[in-house]
Amino acid sequence: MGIQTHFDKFHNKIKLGREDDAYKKARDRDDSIKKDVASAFQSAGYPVVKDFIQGSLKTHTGIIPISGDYDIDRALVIEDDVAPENPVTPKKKTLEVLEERGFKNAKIKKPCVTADYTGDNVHIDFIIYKLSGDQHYLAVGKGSSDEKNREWAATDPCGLTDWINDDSLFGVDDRKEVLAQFRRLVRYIKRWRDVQFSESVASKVYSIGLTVLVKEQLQYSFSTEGARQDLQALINTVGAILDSNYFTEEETGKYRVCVDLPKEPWRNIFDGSSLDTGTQIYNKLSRLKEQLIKAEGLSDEREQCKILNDLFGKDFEIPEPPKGGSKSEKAKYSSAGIVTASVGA
Amino acid sequence: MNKELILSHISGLDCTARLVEAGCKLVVEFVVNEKNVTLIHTFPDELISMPKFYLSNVQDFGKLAHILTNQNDESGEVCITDALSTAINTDQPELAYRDTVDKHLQLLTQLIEDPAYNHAEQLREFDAHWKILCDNAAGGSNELFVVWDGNSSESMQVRPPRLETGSDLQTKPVALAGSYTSDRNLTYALAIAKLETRQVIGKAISIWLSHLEPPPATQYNLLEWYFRIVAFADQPSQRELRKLRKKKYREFWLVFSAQIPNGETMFALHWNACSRSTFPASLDGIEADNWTVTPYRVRSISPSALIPRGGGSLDLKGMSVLLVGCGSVGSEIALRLTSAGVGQLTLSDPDKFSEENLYRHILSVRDIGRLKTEALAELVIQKNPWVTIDAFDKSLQEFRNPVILNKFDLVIVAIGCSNVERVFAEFCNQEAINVPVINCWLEGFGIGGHAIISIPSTKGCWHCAYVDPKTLTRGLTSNLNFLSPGQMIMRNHRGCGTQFLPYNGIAAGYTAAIAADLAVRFLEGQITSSSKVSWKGVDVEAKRASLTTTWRYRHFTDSLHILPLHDNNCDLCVAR
Ligand SMILES: [Zn+2]
Ligand SMILES: [Zn+2]
Repeated sequence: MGIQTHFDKFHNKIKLGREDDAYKKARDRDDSIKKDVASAFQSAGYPVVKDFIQGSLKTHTGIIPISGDYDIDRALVIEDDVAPENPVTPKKKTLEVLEERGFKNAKIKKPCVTADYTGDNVHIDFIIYKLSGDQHYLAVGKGSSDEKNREWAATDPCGLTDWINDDSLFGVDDRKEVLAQFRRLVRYIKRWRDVQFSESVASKVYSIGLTVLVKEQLQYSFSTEGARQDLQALINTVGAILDSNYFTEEETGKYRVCVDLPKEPWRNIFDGSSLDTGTQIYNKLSRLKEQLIKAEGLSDEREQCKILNDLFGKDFEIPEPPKGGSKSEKAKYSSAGIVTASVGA
Repeated sequence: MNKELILSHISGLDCTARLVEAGCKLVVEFVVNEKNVTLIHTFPDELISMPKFYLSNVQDFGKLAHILTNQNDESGEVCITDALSTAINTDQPELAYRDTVDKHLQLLTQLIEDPAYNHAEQLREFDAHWKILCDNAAGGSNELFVVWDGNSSESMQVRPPRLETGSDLQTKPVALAGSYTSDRNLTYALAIAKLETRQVIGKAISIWLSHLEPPPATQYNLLEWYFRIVAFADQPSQRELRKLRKKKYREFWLVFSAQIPNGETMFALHWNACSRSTFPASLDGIEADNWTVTPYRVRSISPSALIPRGGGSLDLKGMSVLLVGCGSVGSEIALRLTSAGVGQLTLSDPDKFSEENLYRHILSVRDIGRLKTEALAELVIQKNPWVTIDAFDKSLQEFRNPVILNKFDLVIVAIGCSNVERVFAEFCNQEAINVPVINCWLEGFGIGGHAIISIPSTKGCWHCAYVDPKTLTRGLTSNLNFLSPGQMIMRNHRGCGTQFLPYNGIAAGYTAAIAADLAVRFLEGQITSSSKVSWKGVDVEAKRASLTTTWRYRHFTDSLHILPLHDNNCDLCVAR
């Protein structure tokens, strides 16, 4: 066994997919509320023409939250022709529905309307768009926003998802493997964020920001035989992120982070983030790289796992020390019973 | 060629040059030690090698190295030792001529001014001058095959030529040391020579010289030269010579060995008298008994002479290798190993040679129906005589015996069947067999081939080559392979049980080459830890057959490079 096996185990523990039980519960909640919101929109004269799940589930980069709160980003789209002039209007309508259903803490945020199901650890963000031709416009604004602070902002939610899922830069035969490694790296680094940052700062180290960083700087790594080497890929990718110009040293040892959205509206994802947040990201990424390199240099797997456990938390397990004396049990072969081979001599 | 231009270029050197005979010839003159040196060159129709110059009035200079003369010749060809390996600028002949003349100037100046250098150089090219002497002697191009290990002082029996034309072994006399008459390694060579039909005509004695003089310029000085050099024969040789004088002979050979600056040289003298006479101890005796003496070139047939000459290593003579699988790959490995000098080879394969194997196997039509091992043993020994070959018809499974396996320095498996190889590898692991094992195999459609060496107690084992890159557990097919597993690759022309893997002799040859290279490098001590090596072919045929390739194929750029075998995900290597 090598260190990759431990990364595989770690990945299996943290990855969140649509079919996961925990997530299904959240989905059921989401479905029933979505229906209520949709019928409220219908009555208000701007029916929902399509809805979709946005975010990490669409890009296969979701992780099981350590806080236990499952996030769902639910997009609802109405038509431009019938959409209210004021983007906050449908958001208020959504809030009404949520409050009717007994959500005490539902509130309108600038880009969405959020609600927590404290009982089920589910957190849903409703994101409202209007659609004109192929162009989506995001309903931006809080309940109290005046005209200056609210708008239908041109955006490209599908474009961003497609960009994250894009694999056209990799060789035709290799893209599946490379894309899968990219997704694993995003998950690792998101979990690392949840473990290494205080809850308040972690919430400002946006997942989409980390995803764009990994996507833009991906240094995939496979052995010559094609075996994945996530540790190597992570070291090189984090190194490339640090070596690029996302971080600007504004004062000695103080960094501002800037990561532009690769799609409309092209804004800085970390717009308005503090110097402290940027500095923490920079310093913690530097330590991540340092520690990963240290782990890579070790030959003892347990020692490697100890470092990785410190970086990624308890889900990166430290194996039991090998039991002395016992001869290695009959090793497991791959599950296949027969495979046609093509060799001769 | 612009000869005036050439002339103007040469004139820059420390000599005079002119054209003669209507510009057909070039004459270059200069002075060394107050002697006039004249070089003559005849322009060729086309300049394809370094221009040749002849030295006039050779007699004026005494014996010079690098001047090839025929008897009584007034002039001699100047030999520039590295002429054959010199590239010349044919686009600018004037430069080629200038540099060539300059080289001649320097060489002749040094030879004439420095007698010690001249002497050493004459010894260095002893063989070339001896050959000229032999070519000019009575009978012309006299050559003697000497089948002798070069170490003992045993005498040899000489048999005369048998035919006028044909194999040199039949058209030249052969001196055979007693210890070789029953050498089974030479059975084939001796059969070609048909020695049994050739009556012994005399004996040959080996003489070791502690010092050698350059050969005489002409045969007339040969005897005088002989008596000068024979004084440097070592003690055992002197004893043999004294013994020789106790009997009378009509003819005999003396086979000389001596060190020259660039190695060892051998040459022979044939002595012939009108009637049985005593071998002379001095020049006077010669005339009394009417002895004539003829120079012979020696063509040595012995492992110490021929194995290194063919690029093999005498150090591998004591090495013992077991080769299981004598198919198109294994059979070529056998040839390559023995040509590298491996002295003991054990072959095993239960198969008989069939006409279907003909075009990609080194065996021939006459071997159809024979055990592959027997036919191969015969072929190998004809090609590379000094090898001991044992042949068995056992399969790899039957070699699962520590006592047998541990006798070998190396085991090579060329059976192309990973199931059997796995069972064998597991046996070696469990029984802690201490012998390194090479496994080699090729893939269909010319896509490539692979060889791995697993050296016990070093990092990397057979299973390392079988870690599945997807699951990171032990896989059923090798991770070295270039074609993805699970594809129908065998060709089947005539129904069940007749399928075969499409590949050709070139693919087999490459695969044998990388395996043999691994073997020889290991035996010579260059490889000390488990390693792997692959050759990668093109995927044209595979694509045509709609086959997919592996990640390794697509990214592989290390053809023929020896790489570490160890795979981080191998559970066996971790357990060790
Ligand atoms: Zn020469
Ligand atoms: Zn191994």
